[in-house]
Amino acid sequence: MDNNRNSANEDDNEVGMIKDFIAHVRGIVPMLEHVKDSIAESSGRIPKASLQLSEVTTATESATVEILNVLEAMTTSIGQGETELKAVRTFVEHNNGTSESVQALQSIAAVEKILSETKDNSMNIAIALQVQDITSQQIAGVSHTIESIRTQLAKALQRFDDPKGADGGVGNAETESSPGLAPATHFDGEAQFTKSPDRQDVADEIVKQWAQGTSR
Amino acid sequence: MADLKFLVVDDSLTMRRIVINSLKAQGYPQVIEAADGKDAIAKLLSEGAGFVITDWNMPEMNGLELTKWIRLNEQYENVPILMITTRGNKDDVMEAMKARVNNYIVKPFTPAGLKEKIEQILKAVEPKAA
Repeated sequence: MDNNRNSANEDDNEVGMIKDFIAHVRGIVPMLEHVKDSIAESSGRIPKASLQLSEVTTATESATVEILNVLEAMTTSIGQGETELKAVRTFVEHNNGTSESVQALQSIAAVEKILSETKDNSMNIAIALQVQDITSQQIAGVSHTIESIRTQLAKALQRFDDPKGADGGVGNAETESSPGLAPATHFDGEAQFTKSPDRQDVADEIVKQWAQGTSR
Repeated sequence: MADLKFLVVDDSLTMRRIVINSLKAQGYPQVIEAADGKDAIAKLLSEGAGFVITDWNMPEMNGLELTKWIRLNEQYENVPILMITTRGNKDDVMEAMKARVNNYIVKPFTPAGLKEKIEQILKAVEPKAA
């Protein structure tokens, strides 16, 4: 009789545990629904983020081209100034010998130096604008990454709705691209803007070895 | 030197402008441009060029594919090719050399670096108009 009472108590405990478990599972369902809704909302924002990144690239390219236009105009003006200065120099040299002409030649030399330095500086600005190309590639890399995340999230959402669907796994998001997204081969997501000569040194060494036939 | 016609290939308008300005500052006024490999081939066929400067990553046809096309084509196989790209790892440089580019610059480039590489190439090869 004691055995029967013990067995009944154990059965009650098991039933209680099962009821608790079922209640717990039922409590998770709304949480999962909330997670699903959050994923859907977040992934819905990603196309807009990709578009905004693309607009950043377009805007910076447009601004950079404007700056290059101004620099080219400056270089042209400097060239014209140098030409005029040469004519002045020739005139002064023909009338050389006076202290005024010596002073004038010194001034001309100083102005020529300033024009040359200004031309070099404008070229240096143009060269620094390579940052626009490099950052646009980095941005393309970021866009590609977040679009890959969006694809993965979309597949996860599908599993919420259809757990036994044909695509049971997450698949390979890297092979899928959203419309308008640049393929991975069109950009270098690891592009770097650096003044360090290290990367060029590496390339130069390989080119040198290739030319010498040692790396074949 | 002023007679040498360059073809500058890059999908970035900014980069094309910078390279072209550098070339002109170095005394190479004859420059045509293309936005990708396919466009470059069309320009080579219609206008010709004696020196190609190309990026790697581009839509339609990338710089590596363009290089291979040029080297496989008897008419253009000896045209000097300088690759200017952000790709700086050893495997990429090796792959470009195997495709038979003449030299390689990692972006960002300097005018002095560009001048040096062009002069190295011109010393080593006889550029032929395509």
